[in-house]
Amino acid sequence: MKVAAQLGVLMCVVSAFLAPTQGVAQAARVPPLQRLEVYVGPSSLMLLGPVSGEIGWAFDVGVQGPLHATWRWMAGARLAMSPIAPEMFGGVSAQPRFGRWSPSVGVELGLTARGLADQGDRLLMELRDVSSRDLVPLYVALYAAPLRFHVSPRWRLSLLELGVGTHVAPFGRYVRLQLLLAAIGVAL
Amino acid sequence: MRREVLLFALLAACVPSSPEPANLAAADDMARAVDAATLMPWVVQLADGHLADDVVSCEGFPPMDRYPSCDLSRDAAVALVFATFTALGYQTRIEEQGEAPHVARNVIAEHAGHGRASEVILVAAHVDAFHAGADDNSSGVAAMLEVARVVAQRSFARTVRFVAFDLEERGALGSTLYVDAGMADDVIAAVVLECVGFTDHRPGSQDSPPGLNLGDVGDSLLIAANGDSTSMAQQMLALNHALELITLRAVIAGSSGAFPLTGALLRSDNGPFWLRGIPAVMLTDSANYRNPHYHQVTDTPDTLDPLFLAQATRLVAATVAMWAEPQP
Repeated sequence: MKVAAQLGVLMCVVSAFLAPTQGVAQAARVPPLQRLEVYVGPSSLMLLGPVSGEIGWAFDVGVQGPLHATWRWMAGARLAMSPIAPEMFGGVSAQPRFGRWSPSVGVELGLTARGLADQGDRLLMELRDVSSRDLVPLYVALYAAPLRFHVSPRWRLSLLELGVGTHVAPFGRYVRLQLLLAAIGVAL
Repeated sequence: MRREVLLFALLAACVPSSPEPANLAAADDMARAVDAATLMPWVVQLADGHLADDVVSCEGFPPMDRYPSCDLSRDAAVALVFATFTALGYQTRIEEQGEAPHVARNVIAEHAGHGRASEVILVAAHVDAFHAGADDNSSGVAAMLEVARVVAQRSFARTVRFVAFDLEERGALGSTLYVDAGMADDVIAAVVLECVGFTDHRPGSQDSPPGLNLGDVGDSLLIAANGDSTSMAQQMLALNHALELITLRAVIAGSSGAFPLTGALLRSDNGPFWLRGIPAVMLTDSANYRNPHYHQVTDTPDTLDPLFLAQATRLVAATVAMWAEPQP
């Protein structure tokens, strides 16, 4: 977690150095939707299985860029330690703009290295092992960020982004609840 | 998402959804052959055995609320089941699986079929228990033993196998190792008996897992099935309707039944069967959702409903006849 936090701070610092090369005035003229944005934030990930349920903390680091109209692509990583393993993800989202308010909904596809068999209590360990043995490490999630605001031409703040997903196979056996507690984004 | 994913439905208890069951006359004959007078003495013997027995290791299993992990026993019950199967004429063996100190000792007895012997009908009940364990699960073991007695006197096209699974209370350990080793790959239908002796006829006596509705009164037997065993549940409902045995409800968890919302149905010995795609149903009085003595020192034989246990046993006997194809 400490490493993840340091990485997040580093990305903020790097982005702060990158932005002045464009000039503050020029950056302010380009609408945020047309620019790359780097964001970081702490998140919580709950994984519910048929005979197990686990929750852990992570740190999300990602980048977003323009795709078409209000649509944006995104890619990132969810950095964490046991019981949540690191994950990489990408996706698309719609981000209409209403003044400073820019809510977002999207779909996320990710790779997760999360191992389940060796996690949790001894009770039901064998059954948990059997139930997770054939899990494909690819997941899909739908997410919504209703509390997403541009606090300045460069800076964006988002609270309580919620995602619901599942491993693509066996579909529905394990359900993911992702909650990005808060995220700070900066346009590059 | 497939239509049945996350779908589970409570089927009406009294409405058969299949035409007349196969082998109905033989099923009726099997049900009538069940001797209700043998059941409670077996329950008492098993319960007394548990109380006098040494407990098994609880290393790695800390006690929790309603989980007295260090009060689990099985050796006396394993010995009784083994001796009973053997006395009934079965080729009986104890299969030891797992790593010390949690080695499961499953007791397996088989009645070979004639003609379709490679197709196995399996009847199972877990033999380990907390404290006296009258409902959980001496009731299930007693029912299994009585069905074994009735089966031993008859001939079937299919093989009928009885398994007393060990260490179910350690997370379905015995059944998981048994199924995972491929030892149930020849099973075409499994019936798992998990607490089949307790009723409470007062309104409000029946609770339900989240998302399910098991009714208000704790007087029914429950069939838990998944997508692979839906037709089994339907056939059992129809059979029960035809023979007028017991108030029966079915809960069907869609597809494999292995989802977070249906996890409560997966935590017994039917779970590993469902995960491996082997058709299996669990018969239960719903255990902790009805029985206040669940995993308590008060789970004693005097709390059981002997008539309910007898009728549940008759349903299992009739079901075996329906599926195993009786022969003259």
